[in-house]
Amino acid sequence: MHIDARTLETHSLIEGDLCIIGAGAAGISLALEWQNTPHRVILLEGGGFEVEAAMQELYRGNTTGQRYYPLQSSRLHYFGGTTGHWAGFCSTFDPIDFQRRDWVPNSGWPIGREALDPYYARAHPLLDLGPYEYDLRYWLDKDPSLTPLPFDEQMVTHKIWQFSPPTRFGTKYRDAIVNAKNIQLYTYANVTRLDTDEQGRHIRQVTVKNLAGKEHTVRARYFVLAGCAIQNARLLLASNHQVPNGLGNDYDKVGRYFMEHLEVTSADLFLTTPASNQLYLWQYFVTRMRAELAIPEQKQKELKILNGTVSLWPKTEDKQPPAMIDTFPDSGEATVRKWELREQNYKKGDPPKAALPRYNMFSLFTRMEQAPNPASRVTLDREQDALGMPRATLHWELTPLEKRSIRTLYDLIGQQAGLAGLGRVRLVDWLRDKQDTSWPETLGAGWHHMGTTRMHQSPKEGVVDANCRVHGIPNLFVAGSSCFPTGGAANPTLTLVALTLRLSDHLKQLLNPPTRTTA
Amino acid sequence: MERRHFLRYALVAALPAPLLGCGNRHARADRTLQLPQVLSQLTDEATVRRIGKAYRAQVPTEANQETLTDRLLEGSPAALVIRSFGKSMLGPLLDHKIRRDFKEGRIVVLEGWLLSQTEARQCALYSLVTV
Repeated sequence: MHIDARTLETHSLIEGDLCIIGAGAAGISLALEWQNTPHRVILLEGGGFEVEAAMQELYRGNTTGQRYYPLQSSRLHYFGGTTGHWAGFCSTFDPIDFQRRDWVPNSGWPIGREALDPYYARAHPLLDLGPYEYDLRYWLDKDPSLTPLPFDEQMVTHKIWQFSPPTRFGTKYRDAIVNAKNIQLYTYANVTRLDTDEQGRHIRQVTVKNLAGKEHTVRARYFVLAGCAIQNARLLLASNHQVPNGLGNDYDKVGRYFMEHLEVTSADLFLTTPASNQLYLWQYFVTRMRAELAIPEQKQKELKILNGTVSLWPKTEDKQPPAMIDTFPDSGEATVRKWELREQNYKKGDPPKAALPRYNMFSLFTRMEQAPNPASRVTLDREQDALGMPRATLHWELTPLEKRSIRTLYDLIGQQAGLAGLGRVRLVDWLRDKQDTSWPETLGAGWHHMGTTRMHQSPKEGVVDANCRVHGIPNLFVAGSSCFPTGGAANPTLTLVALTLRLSDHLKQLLNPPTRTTA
Repeated sequence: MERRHFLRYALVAALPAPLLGCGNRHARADRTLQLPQVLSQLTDEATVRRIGKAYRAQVPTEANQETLTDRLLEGSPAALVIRSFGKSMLGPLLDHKIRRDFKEGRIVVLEGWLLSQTEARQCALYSLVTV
């Protein structure tokens, strides 16, 4: 069932068993898991079914530190969330991403990769991905025309990616959600505060507002924050009426450890013999699988570097492409239109050629993990949005480890290219001086917001526990990449959906406790 | 005569006439020594010269033709091989040296290019003889 919260009489009371706050990839994945159950699920979405300037404006905020994208356009505030401008990149996190690494401060998850494996497999159909296979050999067997670069696998290995069409959750799952008898979807229902009992240990209700001036109350047994890393932290911090530091923030961890993937053109690969390198290429809406170059776990440990990958982009002339951060639109609607246009052009365009051209020049594009850094954080701004909520301020701060890791990645690729007689690598200007720890203004990121409600077994070190439950508040959970303690090298969507499905199983155990049989 | 010096003098006799500024009889051998084969396929000669100049600035103790020639042929019986088998052996010898540099991590970054030390020295030599 769908209800536009603007049409309700103000001060309506909405009640259910499970209240999901946010209808993006995490919120919708979670709600779908509860279709046709006896439980009443309330799904609250701040926006409507289309991207709107007024809704995006509610996400506007300040940024300080390393230059970052406009907050009002890097996340989408409508049903389907940021899948509305998602490129569809999916890969699993590697086992090392979950481990505590002594050279990466604050690393380590309280769960291992094996805990997510079954959920990765379950997440695949939701994202319209292919088989749950991330082994290079599987794909080479499937298509013998794909040829990996002749690198020593002990030094430079391959990470497999799969591509969602991309699945726009707002389009694909709208009917399923709206038609589910036990799910009540409320649009234009912005949660502006969480109210607890007097001790601040139980969520009693949440307050919902919209730009039509309506205010409602939602009560449920369990609440799940499924906004995004910035909005989840913002809501916890802004819910400071009973607990001055905000909820889940007894140890000043909410909002900290904001992470991104550093995405930037870092070098060029010049080949002595032109090649198509089809295994590594990606075409919008066409490619369903590709490989990126990566550093094996053992080598990461030996060199004490972060996890990262490198993709290859053909070049026809020796000049650098414009930086992503310089071309990203200020408005959320524009980012959606940009993707729609790409899709239309693809559909109108010629079918992809079977034989790809050969190139002797490739841009090498980095995707590098950011080390969890408590100083990289979301806080509340003094300015309020139109609903009276303090806006978010993002201070994005990097450390020298990220830069050293990027440089080391290219040292290895350069060495392997030389050793294999393949060609030579040329670094971009800002990466040439090993002693220089500064970052260029053109450094990009993947619009991957992670951290801010990190998972840790101790409330002193994290905001949620291994089941994504907020420490100290047993009926409040968080879904999404804000729970990630580290960000790995892979884009977060597949992992955040997998983690959400795992959370869903946990919630089902809570709402459906096993029946005790008496002898 | 010390073996090292003998090799160098033998080499000078065998190939570097144009290096010393005369004739083109040994031009091919000179060019093989001075111009890194792979890099010169990938970029233009002006870039090779810039890289060479950068290497000379980075390693001033090698910033002369004699030392660079010495270093390029160091550890390989180049002169003897060339005398016995002809100048065509110089290319494979340098290739071998370049691969060994990459394998053993003797890599330098010049003008952004990740190059073997041997290639960097070739560029430096080229930048000296083509000024």
